[in-house]
Amino acid sequence: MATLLIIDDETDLRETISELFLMVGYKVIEAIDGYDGLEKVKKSKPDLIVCDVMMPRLDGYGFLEQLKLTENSDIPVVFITARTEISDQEKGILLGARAYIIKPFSFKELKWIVEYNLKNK
Amino acid sequence: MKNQPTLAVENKSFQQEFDSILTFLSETCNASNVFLTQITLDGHSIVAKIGPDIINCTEKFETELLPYIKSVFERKEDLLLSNTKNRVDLKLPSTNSYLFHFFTGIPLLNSKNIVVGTLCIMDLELIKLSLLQKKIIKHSSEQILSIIKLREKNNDLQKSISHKKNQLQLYFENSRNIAYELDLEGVFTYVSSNWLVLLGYESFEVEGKSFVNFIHIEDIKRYFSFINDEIITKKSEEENEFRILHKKGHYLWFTSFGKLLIKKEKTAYVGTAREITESVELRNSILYQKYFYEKILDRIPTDIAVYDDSHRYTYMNPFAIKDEALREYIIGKDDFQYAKHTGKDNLIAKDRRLKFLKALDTKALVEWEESVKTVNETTYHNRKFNPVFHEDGTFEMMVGFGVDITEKKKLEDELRQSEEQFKGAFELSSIGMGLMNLDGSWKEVNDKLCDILGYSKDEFKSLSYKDITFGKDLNDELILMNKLISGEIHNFNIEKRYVHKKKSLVWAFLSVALVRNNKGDAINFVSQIIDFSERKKIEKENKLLVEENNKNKTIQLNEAKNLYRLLADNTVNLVCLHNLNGTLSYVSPSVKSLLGYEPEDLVGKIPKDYINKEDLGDNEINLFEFINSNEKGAQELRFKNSNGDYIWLEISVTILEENGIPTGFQSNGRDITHQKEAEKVIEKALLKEKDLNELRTNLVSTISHEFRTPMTTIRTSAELIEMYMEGQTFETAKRINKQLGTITGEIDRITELMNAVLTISKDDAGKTNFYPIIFDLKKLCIDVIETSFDNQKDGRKVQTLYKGLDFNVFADRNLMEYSLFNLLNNAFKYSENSGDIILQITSNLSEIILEIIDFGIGIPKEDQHKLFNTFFRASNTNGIQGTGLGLYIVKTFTEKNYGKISLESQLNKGTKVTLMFPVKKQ
Repeated sequence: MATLLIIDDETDLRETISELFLMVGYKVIEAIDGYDGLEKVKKSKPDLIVCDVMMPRLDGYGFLEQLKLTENSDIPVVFITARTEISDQEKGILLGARAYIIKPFSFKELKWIVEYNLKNK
Repeated sequence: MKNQPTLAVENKSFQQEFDSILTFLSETCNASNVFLTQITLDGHSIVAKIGPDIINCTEKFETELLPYIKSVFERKEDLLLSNTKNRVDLKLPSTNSYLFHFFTGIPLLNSKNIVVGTLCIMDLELIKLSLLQKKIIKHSSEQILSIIKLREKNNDLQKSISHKKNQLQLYFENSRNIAYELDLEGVFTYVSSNWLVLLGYESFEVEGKSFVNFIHIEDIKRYFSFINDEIITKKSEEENEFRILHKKGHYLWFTSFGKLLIKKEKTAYVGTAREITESVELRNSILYQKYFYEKILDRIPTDIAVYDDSHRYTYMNPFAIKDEALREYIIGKDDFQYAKHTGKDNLIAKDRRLKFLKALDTKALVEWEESVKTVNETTYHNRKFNPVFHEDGTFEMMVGFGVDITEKKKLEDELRQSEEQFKGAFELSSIGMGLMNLDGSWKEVNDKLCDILGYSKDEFKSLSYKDITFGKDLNDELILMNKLISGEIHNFNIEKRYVHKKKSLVWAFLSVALVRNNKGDAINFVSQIIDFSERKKIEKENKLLVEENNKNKTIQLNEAKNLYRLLADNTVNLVCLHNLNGTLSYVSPSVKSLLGYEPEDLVGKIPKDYINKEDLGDNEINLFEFINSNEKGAQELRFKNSNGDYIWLEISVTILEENGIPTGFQSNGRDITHQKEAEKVIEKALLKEKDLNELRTNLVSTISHEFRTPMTTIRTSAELIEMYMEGQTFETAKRINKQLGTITGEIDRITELMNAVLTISKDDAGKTNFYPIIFDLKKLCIDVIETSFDNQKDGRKVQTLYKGLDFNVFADRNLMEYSLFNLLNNAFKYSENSGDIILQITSNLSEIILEIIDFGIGIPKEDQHKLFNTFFRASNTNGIQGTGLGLYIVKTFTEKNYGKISLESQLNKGTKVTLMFPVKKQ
């Protein structure tokens, strides 16, 4: 089964999402911000990354920018965010994110998008 | 047959040669008959022959011999035969028939390889030709051919000669040129016929006569030197023009191009010439006219210039610019370039350009006076621009004239000045004055003199000074007058007595001078008469009058002032008078209630010191500028009151004038403090509202943002619990699952509400993105239905109906999509178990109408008018989720999209929402 990396500074949310994915059979790694995320990617080479946008230290945009400079630039990234502005969505998509999911979302929705992007990697 | 080549043997010049060749052949071959044929226009004919005259028998020739000859022709090859088949039966006309054998036929080919004739040999005997004989025949045929070719060549040559001849002839006949030939003595040896016609002579009158008899005496030298040049250099560069005497005695002009010709071993001159009298005369007259006008233009004491349509000089006469180099420079330039070139100011050029354009525009003469300032003096010029047009109305040229009128102007000025001075002095003088003719009669007197002596001006004209002088004083005066006239003295002063009209004596002081013209001739006397007693009287009267005047004026002035005071003192507004420098000279008492000062506190003060510096800025206040500064003529300024607070006054200023001269200002001030305060309050309130709005938007945005993450956590947690519960069968499992459903449902509801509030708040703050474009509404409807409404759980559908062709609207696509989604969502939501939804778009010429119809619960009548309000939900929506914001947003967005929304509904029957948009043509 595929490995997912969940990056979010909100511990509760991150853990809930992780457990949900574990329940449906994924292997899950967690990271607490962008820098942590970059390290985990290097170490574990996940198949897909679910990433929050607003985080301390290095936010989701910064994470994606740096990821694109590494050898793992082709790992698909799905943003989850509380930012509703269309301009923010555009920014994410322009940076190369596969999807931009506005909170709150249902796990079904997130799962569907993750599966879709793994399939069309 | 016309162009059939022939031997072209027309004359007998080659006959001899042919005959000798044929004789030689006849002897060599021992044959009786040898002949040469050629093709002519009529057919074959014999050119030369040897032997018995058998062939002239035409009938035989054509029927029996010709087939052989023709076969020679057609085969183009030698026919050397000696068999019996080639027998020709020919009879000599005088004898019986003989049998001839035709055994040789050789075709003759010209230079173009065309058969033009044959060489044939016949004999009674059948001769067997030896090799040598054959060779000789062949050789002879070649000889004949070479003769023919030579003949051809000569023929061509002759033709070309005759052709050239004809050409020359034609040239002379049809040309207007005349031709003649002179021998070396200059005697005509030939003249062409048109020479004779043109000049009216018969040929015998010219030929044999010397050319000198005909040429104009002035042209002889030039003509013969031209011929000499011609003889020496064999060519002439120029044409020679000369006159030849017509028989009737006048001369015609010719231009000639000569050619020296060797003719019959002696040199002769052959000349051709063309008559050019008309053009020479025309040229001369033009030259003369040019000379004539240029001479005039050069000497005329007026500036004359000619310009093209761009105001550039095309001519300027020497009077206008004496310097020749400068005059040459200016051609093709305009006044601006001229000014630049000469380092002058271009003001005059500008002025001239305007006048030039005016003359062009009005097509009429423009005249003006131009003053030219140099360092030392100002000169004046009368200038004119006179446009000249072609007959068809197009511009030909502009002629400019300029006359220096400085002297005239100076003189006029001086004259006018002196006349005015004199007239003024004369008429207004308090001294009696008069101009007197030499005979003692009065030419002119002033009013004063009339006063002194009681006569009117007219009466004076018939009086002599003698008539009004007291008798005893007359003699003294007379002596002095004579001395004046003789030049002994220049003037004199005496005291004398005049006789008043009323016969009373008037003591006066008389001063007389004699005026002479520039030749020194006496013209008239100038007399000045002072009446002693009168003067005294006047002085006295004047004094009284002045006093009286002053008194009256003061009274009037005081009256006016009092009236003004009365008004000013009682006004609630502030009324002030200022000196020219702005200093206050009067302040109305209302200042006390307005600013708390006593009027006298302010008199002598400068208003500026009381004005708030912020309102003044850095500008020094100038009351003249103040008047012009504002269209209303009023300014709002803050003035310091006696407590040091500032009071808003609206100030307007007017100039006070006496006899057109400004003497001061009047200012009026109105208290506008209340007005200003009110304005401030409103401004504050607006600002506050704006702040509040902003705050609300930010608040909503922040809350919405901050809520989203925890809501996600709650929602996903519930989903996680749901997963844990899967397959659990303990007692409360069912109830837990139900509550989990409630949690996720309520989270979704909050999200929906939050999104709606955020949308509205953004819109209120003017932050909604609005980028209208032209798009197809029908397509958008299809998209929205496909992506969001095609998979309803209960299987219901949207039925679509499109009427019309063009569904383009000009609107923001996102807002429209939001509206459509919302309306369709409502339609489904409020019509459970009530069938499909209908979406219908109707496009006509002016608008696109979109209707969304459901057959659901409908809206109670009393609720319908509140439906577009925020947070309003109809009373029959219990149990159906909703925010009460959807329709409000749809209405806002639709109106933003230039559309209108309306709603019709019947309880329990259904609802129809209608959107209308103007058609946008693509």
